[in-house]
Formats: sequence, C-alpha cells, structure tokens
Amino acid sequence: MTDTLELKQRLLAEFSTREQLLNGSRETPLHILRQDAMNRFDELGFPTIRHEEWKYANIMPALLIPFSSAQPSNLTSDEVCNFYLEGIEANILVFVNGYFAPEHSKFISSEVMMSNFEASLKTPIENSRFAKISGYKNESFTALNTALSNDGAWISIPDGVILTNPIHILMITDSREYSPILHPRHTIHCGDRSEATIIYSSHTIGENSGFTNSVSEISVGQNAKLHQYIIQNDSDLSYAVNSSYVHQERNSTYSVVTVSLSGKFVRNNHTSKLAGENSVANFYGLVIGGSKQLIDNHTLADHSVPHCQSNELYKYILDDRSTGVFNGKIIVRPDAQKTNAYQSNKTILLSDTATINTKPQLEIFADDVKCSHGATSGQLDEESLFYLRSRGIPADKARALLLHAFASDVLNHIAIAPLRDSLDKSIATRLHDESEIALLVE
Amino acid sequence: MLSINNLQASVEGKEILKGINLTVNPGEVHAIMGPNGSGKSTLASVLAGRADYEITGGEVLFEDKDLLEMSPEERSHEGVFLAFQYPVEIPGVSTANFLKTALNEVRKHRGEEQLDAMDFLKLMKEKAKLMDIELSFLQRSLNEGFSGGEKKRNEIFQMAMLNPKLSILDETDSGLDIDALKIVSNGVNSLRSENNATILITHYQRLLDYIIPDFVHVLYKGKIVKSGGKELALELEARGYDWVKDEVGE
Amino acid sequence: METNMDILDEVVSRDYQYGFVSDIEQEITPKGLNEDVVRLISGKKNEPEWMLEWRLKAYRHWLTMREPKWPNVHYPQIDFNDISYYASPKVKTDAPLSLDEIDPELRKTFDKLGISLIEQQRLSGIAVDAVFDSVSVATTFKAKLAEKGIIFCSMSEAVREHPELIKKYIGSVVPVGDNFYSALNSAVFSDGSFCYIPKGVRCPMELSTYFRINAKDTGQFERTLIVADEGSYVSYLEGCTAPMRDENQLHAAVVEIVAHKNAEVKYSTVQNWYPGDKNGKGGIYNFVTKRGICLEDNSKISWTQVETGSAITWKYPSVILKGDNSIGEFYSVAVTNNYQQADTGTKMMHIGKNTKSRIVSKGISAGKSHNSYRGLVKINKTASNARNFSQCDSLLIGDKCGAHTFPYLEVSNCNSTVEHEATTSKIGEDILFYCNQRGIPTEEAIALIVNGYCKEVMNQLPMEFAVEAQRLLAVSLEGSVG
Repeated sequence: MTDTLELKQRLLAEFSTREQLLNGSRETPLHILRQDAMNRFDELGFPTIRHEEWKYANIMPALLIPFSSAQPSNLTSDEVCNFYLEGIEANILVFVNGYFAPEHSKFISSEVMMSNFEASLKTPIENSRFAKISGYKNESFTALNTALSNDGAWISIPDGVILTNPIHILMITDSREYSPILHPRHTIHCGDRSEATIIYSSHTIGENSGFTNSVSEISVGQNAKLHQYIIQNDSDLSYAVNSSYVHQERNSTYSVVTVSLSGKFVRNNHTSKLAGENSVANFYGLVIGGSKQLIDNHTLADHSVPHCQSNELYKYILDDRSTGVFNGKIIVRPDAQKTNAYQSNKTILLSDTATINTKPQLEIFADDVKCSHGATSGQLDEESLFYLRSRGIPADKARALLLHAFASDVLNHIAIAPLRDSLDKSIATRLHDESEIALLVE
Repeated sequence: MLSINNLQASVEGKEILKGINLTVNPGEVHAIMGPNGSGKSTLASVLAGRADYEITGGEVLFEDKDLLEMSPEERSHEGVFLAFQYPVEIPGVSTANFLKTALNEVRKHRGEEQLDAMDFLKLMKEKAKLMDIELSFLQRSLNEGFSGGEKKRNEIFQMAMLNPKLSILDETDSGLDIDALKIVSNGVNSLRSENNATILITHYQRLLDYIIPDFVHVLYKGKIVKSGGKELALELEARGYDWVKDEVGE
Repeated sequence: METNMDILDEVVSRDYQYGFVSDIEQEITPKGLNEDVVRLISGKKNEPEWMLEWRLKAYRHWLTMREPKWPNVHYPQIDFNDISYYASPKVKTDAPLSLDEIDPELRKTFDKLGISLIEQQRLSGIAVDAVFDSVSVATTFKAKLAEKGIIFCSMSEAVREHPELIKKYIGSVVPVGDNFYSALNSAVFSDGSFCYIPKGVRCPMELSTYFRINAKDTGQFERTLIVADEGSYVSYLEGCTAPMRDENQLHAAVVEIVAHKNAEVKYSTVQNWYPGDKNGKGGIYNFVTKRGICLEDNSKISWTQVETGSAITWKYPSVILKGDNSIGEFYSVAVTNNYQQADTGTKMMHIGKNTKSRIVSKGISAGKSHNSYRGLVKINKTASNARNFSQCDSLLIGDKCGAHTFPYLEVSNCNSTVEHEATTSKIGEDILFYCNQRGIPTEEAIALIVNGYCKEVMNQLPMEFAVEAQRLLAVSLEGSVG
C-alpha cells in the first residue's frame, strides 16, 4: 500500500515545488483554482476498485511504476512524420511528452485560432475557458490534471466558420529514457454555426511505460457541428486516462468515434451534457483488445433539456487475456421530455481468457421519452458462417471476414475516407482478413 | 452425379429423413415436392452440410465421392450449391466482396488462377445483367435490407457466378411475385446445361411452369413415396397431397 | 385528456384492503437486540444447542457489518434497537396445534385474508403454512404430503424434527455473513417454512406460505428453506400482507433453495406488504435475500415475483447455476406508486457447462415513486456454451417518477452468449384515447395495458395466483394518472 501512495506523494511534492517557483503569481485566481484542485486530489486519492466507477479498472498496478514528470523532448522530423496521417491535408498540432512542438506543427486554416494551452493562459482566468466545463470535485484524475496541467491544444473556431481541413492533434510520448507521466489539457470551442473535424491520435516512442492523464473541455455552440476521431495507438506498456467533457448548446451536434487499438490500460471518460434543445450527441467506439490489455469506455449522455437525442454504439473484439469494460449511462433529467436515447454494446470474445464487463445504465426521470439499450456478448453468427462456408469460403477465412464486418460497422461513422481506409486496413491485418471490404464496383 | 442411398437424418433426436433414395444425372432437373413438414428443406440442408442434423444412416455420393464426409466449403468447392430458403443478412460484408472471396476459393480448389479485380468486375457485370441486378446493389451489405424477392434473385445471381455442378434450390419460389419468379426462372434456365443438374424443392407447382423438370418426386414423412414425370406435378396441383397420402395407405 | 385525469383523481382514495389489525392476545419481547434476545428466541423455540450457536455466530458477525448503501433507495437510518424481534399469538401449550385448536380470532384473520386454514374449505390444490408475526400458526395438508415422504412444516418444527436436514442445508446457499440483512436474519429468524421433496417425487399440490405481520414495532425475520432431491418437482407460493401503520416496519427474510440432479423448483411470490399511504407515511421495508442453487446437473430453479407492496423493496432472487445443463429463470413485475421505492432484480451466476438463464423484468413506476432494476449476469470461464437472455422494460406513468436500469454483465467464456435488452416507454395518451373511443374507461384501460405489458411474467404464475396478482396490479396503480 505504501508503494501505491508514493506516486501520489511525489505528485503532491511536484505541485509544491511548482508553487514555490510562482513567486508573485501565487494569489492569481488560476493558482487558487489549481490549489483547490490539488487539495481535492489529495482527498480523493487514486480510485480503487472499491469505487463503483472503477470496479473493473484496477489502476493500482500502474501506481507501482516509477513514473516521473514528463520533460520536453526533441524528436527529429523523421521520427514525427511517421505519425502524420497519409492522404489528409490537415492542420497539425504536435505535442511531445505533452509539450507543444511548433517545429513539427503545421497551420493551414488561418480562419481558426489554434494555439497551445500555455499560450492561452496568458489571458486572465476569468476570460479563459479553463475548468469551465469539467468538474473535478468527484474525479480525482481530472482534479490532478487541473492542478498540474501545463500544456495542450487550444482551439477556437469562430462563429460561422466551416473548417474544410481537419485539425490533427498528434500526441507522442517519448519513453526512451524514463517513464513519463503527463497531464495534457485540451480546450476546444466551436462557435455558433461553425463546423469542424478534429482528429486526435496518440503514439509512443520508446520501451518504458508512460502515463497520460488528459482532460479535454469542449464546447459546441448553437447550430455548430463537431466531429472528433480518436485513434489510440500507444505502446502496450502505456497507461492512459482520458476524460473529455462536452457542453452542447441548442441544435448542436457532437460526434465522436474512438478507436482503441493498443495500450496496456486505457480508460476513456466521455461526458456530454445536452444543455440546449434539439442537440444531438453520437458516441461510437471500437476496441480491438489483445495481450493483457484493459480498455474501459465510460460514457455519459446527460439529457437536461427536452427534444435531444443521443446514440451510442460500442463494439469490442477481445482476444488473449484482454479485458474490455463498457459503462454507458444515459440520464434523462426531469423535464427532458421527448428525449431519444439509444445505446448498444456488442462484444465478441475470441478466447476464454478474455473478459467483458459491461454495465449499460438508464436513469430516467421523465416519462415521454424513448430510451433503450442493448448489450450482447457472444460469438459470430453460426448461420452466417454456414452461409459463407456453403459458398466455398473456408471456416477461418469466413470468421475473419465476419469479424472485420463486425468492426466496420463503427468505422463507417468516420467521414474522412483516407482515415477510415487506413484504419480499416490495420484492423483487417489485426483480424487476419485478407479480403477487401471496400471493393469498388465501378 | 449424385447418388443418395437410404439417407436417414434426425434433428434433436427426432427422425426427419427416413431413408431417401435418389439418383441425379448430369443435365437433369429434379423437382421434389411435398406437404409442409415432409422433410424437403432438411434434405437440402443435409446435402449442403448444415451442422444441426445428425446423419443416422445411409450414404450420399457426389461424383463417387462421399459427400457426407466433407465440410460445407469442400462441398461448395466440389460444385454443390444451395440456394437458401432464408438467405442470411450479413451487415458490413458487401455482396461483391463476399463473392470475390468465394469465387477465388472455388477457383483455387479447381487449380485455376485467382481473378483480379478487373476480371471479377467484368464477370460480375455480365451475370448481374442476366439477373437484372444493378451493380450498386452488389455494393450493399449482403442481403441486408433486401426484400424477399431481392434476396432470392441474389441467390441465383451467386449461383451464376459460382457456376456449380449441382444446384439445390430450396423453396426459391416462395415469396416471389410473378415478375420476380420469371426473372429467377430465366436465370436458372439459362444456366442449365448437359453438364450440370438441378434439384428444385418446392411446395407449389407454379415454379414448374417456368422451369420444366425431368422428374418429379413426392416427399412425404421423410420418404420419397412417388416419382414420375412433369405430369405428376400437375396431378398434385389438381388433386392435392391427400391423394398421395391415401395411396401410401393413410 | 383532462377528464381522464379527473376520473383517476377520484379513484385514488381506495384503501389498502389488508390494512386491518387483529385483536389477538400477543406475546412480544421488549425492543432491542443483544445476545440475550438471540438466546430468548432460540429458547422459545426449544432449539438444540447447535442452532443457538449458529445464531450467535451470525449475531457476532452481524455486529461487524454495516448497512449496504449501494441500492438506489433512500430512507432514514434504522435503529435496530428500536425493534422488537419476536412476537407471537399467546398459546396455552407448546405442542403443535391441531387445526381445530387455533384461536378463532386468528382463524378469522386468515379467513379475511382469503387464506382458509380449514383443509376442506381450501382449494384442494394448495397446502398452506401460515405465519403470523414470528410464528407459524398452522400448516395444512401435512398428513397427505407425508404419505409421499414430503416434509412441509414450520422452520421451528423442522429444527426439532429434522435436524440432520437443517444442519446440512441451512446457510448452504446464503451463508451467514452473506450480507448485512442475511446475517441479521440468521441471528434472529423466528419462523418460516421448511420443505423437502424426496427423490423422484413430484409434489402433488402447490405448497404455499402466507406471511402476516400484525404486531406493532416488530420486525419480521422469517427463513424459508426448500430442498428438492434428485428428480423431484415442487411449485411454491408465497404471499404477504401487513396492517396499515404510520411507522415503518422491517421485514428481512432469507429464502434458500437447493435443487439436486434433475430437480425443479418453481418459486412464486406475490408481495403485497403495506406500501405506506399516498404521502409516503408508513409501510414495510422489505429487505430480502433469496437465492437458489442448481447444485447438480439438469436442475432448474425459476423465480417469479409480483411486487406491488412495501415502502421500500430491496431484493434480488438469484440462481447459482453450478450443475451442467442447469437452468435459472427470473420473471418479475415490480410496481411502484406514490412514494414507493424498489431496487430489485436478480443475479445469474453461470458456473456449469451449457447452463441457461432467462430474465424478464417489467418495472412500472407511477406517482412519485422510483423503480430500479439491478441485475448481474456472470459467466465464469468454466461455463462453456452458457446462454443468457435478459429483457428489462420500464413503463412510466406520469412525469414525477423515475425508472432506472443497472445491469452488470461479466463474461469470461468465449463460447457463451449473453444478450441484454432494455426499453423505457410510457402509456401514451393516444393509446388511452383509442381505448376510450372503444368505450373503455381510462382506469380500466391502464389496468388492461399494464396487464398486457406484464403478461409474459403473469403467465408464469399458477392460475389462482395470477388472478390475484392481476387484481393487485390494477389496485396499486389506481390514481396513478393525474
């Protein structure tokens, strides 16, 4: 037990050290907020499996790893360019060990304000969007991030701007020399009537562990549309807790597709507050789990006003000794009448040492609503397998084909074709499917 | 080509086929008729190798090879094709991709070269025309959201693509309106040759107006109780199955 | 639609039909709980030393435990020293009563509840064990059942007469320290029913226990144990009512079921404890642990419950599917109205191969009530080819109530199939209007719709019970629209 406490003590010490360096700015509202968040983290500590929301995700083993605060690291362009997305003309914001790397970044859409969080903090806290959407009172990782975060992406799409080129936030962890722990903080604001696509991908260079504790605060204005694609491709020694908090205004649409391909421990918290009427939230997720991975998706669609809609589809394919967790919650608050909320979690287990723990929850306080959820765990459909085999496709190929088809259901929600196709290809390889799903007829 | 000798099969301990004997030669069309529950679809499933059935006796030889020993895909490679009564829907797998995979597997077995995308496309266009199927249709997920008639047409289209030796059409006419029935029948007829054979499983005589059988068999309570030429079908249409039941002494 | 609401407003006033108090001379122990009270209860029942030891062990364990806080229900802290743990009608002798010797007032009470203790007047298909507060007052058809070797008697009697069976099975499914309330029950349980069906016997009639709380400020802690030996079958019914009182009363029962090879047990409950008045005053706290184990191959346990009563219900009838090919079922209708709260569901623990479970839960919330489904389906690594299907539906009547679904699915076997579906809907005004237009008044229409909604569960109930349950549903929802 003393060992798991050690990381916490070190983080608290780090905060005090930083505090001493602040000199004159200790009394700023920003620092007071951070102080409060750190105190909260101190009280809450790291969550154990006795915590209902962490019942199936044991973070304790990670706390024994000697993580130390991430330091800036200089990567060569060759090292970085491996992670650029092929065939996509995008704005790129690169962060290495959580620090903005302008030399690797690229801005092509001048109509959008893109910067890093550190620079944005130069505005007084009252005017910044820092900690306006995320609550840290009950979330120890968010509290920790709020206290210790010092960089991340800061994006603001002005009212009425329709962004044609996507923004790619590229996170690279350099763990070649030590095991870094980082707390990136991203702030995204979509003005009224704006439209944007943000791709977020994470990768690791190096053989040591890494721990990313990221927080994203996202506001989607009236009639705005935000599409987010999250590609999790860290090394199999890395740990990540990603919390994103979305606030949606009237007639807005927020869609996110999370594709989890690797990582030893990945916990994604997605919360969307549907705060304006006629807003729509879509959560899609695909998990391809292997080795001893644990991938945990927690979602919350919080319906606070009438006439909103939320859709969720999460699919898991789990092999080896991997564990999948899905915890989806739909809350329909009193008066949020005419809510339409739908949620589905489907899993295929490929080995007897793989496990899925799923908990789809409905909490309904209004009567005139349409809410449903479904969860299944099973194998490929025997009837489909027989059909494919009776057409001459051998059993193992038929299985691969069906698995791939199972996954493609989620990928189809990615509107950027080159991104979708490259993900599709890497997933096909993982699932040993040699056929091409997207065979063109004309 | 196909020789079924005293075939017996049961499902969950219940005997369904009670000794079927049937010989099919190249170039022949056999119609198997019979009332509901007589075992028609079971026969089709057993020949294609569905796992739910237990073979309790008899043998099936296909070109002198033991068919019952083969896996479903081996049977397909040998040239056995089953047009399903209820084709499954497979979301995420396009008909085109599915067929390309299947066709190349069959070709591999025959020792033929793999078709590349261009050749495959050419072949598919040709066969799609035959079945009056639009190409865009083939890009959709296999059978997903297809109407009953579209599913059946897709089955015959696949048959045209795979060019089997023995085709078993399980109630292919059910749920078809007259136009769809004509398209399906035209497809089947145009694929007929002296080298392949067809088994039509049907409840109604109607299909046989369009696909003329050489032989008609009546299956009743798991046995073929009567065989004859195409006129037998007309007699059944006119007199119903009770007449056959009376003849077998019930 | 206004008129519909008005009509319903008027019907609200129907009282809880079973709310009367019987004037019977009773013996009630002083309030409070300590080892002496445990000894006293054991002594009253002339229990052997081993039973007392078992109780004391449970009591000491209970002292170390804390009340569970995870259910989605809210109530003031219970003072366990403000409850009397034993109440019984006064009798002259200790000997088991013959049916003729029962206090006429007591017999009248059960007559009033529709439970006749006179065998000749009973529907011949059902044998009854009647429990009045802490004691079993009568068990009917005992002799007839004994001919087949079936033991059906009160728990107190079973402890004395069949110690070998009780020793073997009590606490084998719900261990003493399983949870706070089962530990409390193990320490102070006063009576309940015991039932043993020998090898190969198909019980010729429905067995049933009728529970009645009468005394004030008492808790009821009964314990039921059903053992179905190899190849046997029994269908068991349970009913319950209580007087209307302004204070909340605690009912913390334990039911254990053991099914041996090829045995089948069907357990049906119609729970109609006093739910409190329409302002949420009074009512029973129904905190119950029910669990069965399919111990050996091909066994089957089926729970059916219709929950309309109690201020708070907290129970999860569960099945441990240990034997290969064993089957567990849970069919539930839970209705909450006014200020009632229910947190109920099931646990299906698949251990054996080819085990199957089926869950059908229908929650209906009205008034200002809260209704939660909470369930666990666990498929162990060992449970190859296991199957589960769950359907959890919630129906909301009015916009002040809540419906919640908390299913947990834990799957660790790749040859298993688990399917869970849940929906939430309301009784639409268009449907009510349609019914009205066809001449069906709103209150009847609601009963009709709700009964249709629950049909799949109701069909599982034995005939006479189903009729009773249907009527109950209608009554508990009266005044729900408005």
